[in-house]
Amino acid sequence: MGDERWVRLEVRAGRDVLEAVGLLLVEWGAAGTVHGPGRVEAYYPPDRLESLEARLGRYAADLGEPVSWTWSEADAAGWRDRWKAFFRPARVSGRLAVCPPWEAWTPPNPDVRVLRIDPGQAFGTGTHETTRLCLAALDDLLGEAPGQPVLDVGCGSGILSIGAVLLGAPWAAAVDVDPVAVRTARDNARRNGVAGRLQTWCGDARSVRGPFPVVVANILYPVLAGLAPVLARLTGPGGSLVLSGLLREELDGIVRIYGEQGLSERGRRARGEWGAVVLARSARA
Amino acid sequence: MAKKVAALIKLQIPAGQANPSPPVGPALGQHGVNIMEFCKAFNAKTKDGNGIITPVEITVYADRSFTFVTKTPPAAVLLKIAAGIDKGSGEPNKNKVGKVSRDQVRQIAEQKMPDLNTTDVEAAMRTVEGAARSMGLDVVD
Repeated sequence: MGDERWVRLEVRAGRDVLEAVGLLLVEWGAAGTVHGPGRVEAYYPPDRLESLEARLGRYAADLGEPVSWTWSEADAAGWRDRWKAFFRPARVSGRLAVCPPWEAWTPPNPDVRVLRIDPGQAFGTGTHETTRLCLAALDDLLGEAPGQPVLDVGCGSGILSIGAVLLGAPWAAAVDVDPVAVRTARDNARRNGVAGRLQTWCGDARSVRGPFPVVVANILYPVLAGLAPVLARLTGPGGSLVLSGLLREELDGIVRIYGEQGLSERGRRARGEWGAVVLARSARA
Repeated sequence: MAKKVAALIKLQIPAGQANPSPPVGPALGQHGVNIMEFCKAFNAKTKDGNGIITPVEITVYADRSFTFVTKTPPAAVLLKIAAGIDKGSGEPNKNKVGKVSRDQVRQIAEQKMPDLNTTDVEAAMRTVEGAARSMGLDVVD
């Protein structure tokens, strides 16, 4: 998705007309609208410009009220990367710090390992609460029992699986349905010198062969609920499953759903409105 | 001490379906907000919304952290539901696509009053009626 071009349409009109125009712009193919005083904006691929111009012309002529609009080219590079200026090194768990690859930084504490991550267009910079909750849980699990391979389902930038390797896992497997995420995870593994210890593949968790002693999935409640039988199967006897991407109030529900799959809660943690839960499978299962 | 606000961004996007493409990407990215984090949080909060267009107001702070609140669907979406139509009209005077009753307009106006920033139901009704006409709906008694 890196190279596509967009044009930005800005329509100006009275408030009640803009209410209707906002809806029409979505019906005409925009993925949403941006609203400001007296104006609404939408984005389209450039090849739609001509037909939209004609539609707007017909709409304005028929409405009989003042409606004006302008087109401009959207500056993709300007918005995609601007947040990077605010991505700073940060300690994310007891033994791990996350740092953007463009920063030359060494942690004040030499025992802290540095995970250099460029999320590109994939999820996971380490600044989100759920990422930190998962890394803290992995830090504890691998601190107690290093040497356990880790499966990361919905790997995004690879931050959790690469973090797991830096925290003591001999190797990790990272799976995501998004090919951009898988590519990003591979790049990040190379960047951290652990490419040989990270297996990546693009696909559904259902296609993964297990089990693993540690599984982590930082996605969202509906996806995690649907994946319960799959993630339960992938968590080996005596193994641990870390789940996040969950709001605090969703933790009880997810524990109940996974309880039906034979996993029991071992602990939970929260930051802000987000939570994570660590589930355990009995060693005899 | 309250954090310094750097920007207030108002979007209307489908519930549970935010992604880094426009409009979310440019609207947030230009203010230095981590786009993926917003998408994740918005999709978690609106996962039960069946993809309905949802207004969201995002407050961006000087340190580029953000908070957001979601609102009731836009008046035009509520009008579409009330009239039972699939789409608004591209030529709202020539091609009428349906009708709504004044009672329905009042209900929508009452629902949208907090977002329209008014306590005057008649003023809110005028805005909703104007929106109805602008999308090809007749308002009937």
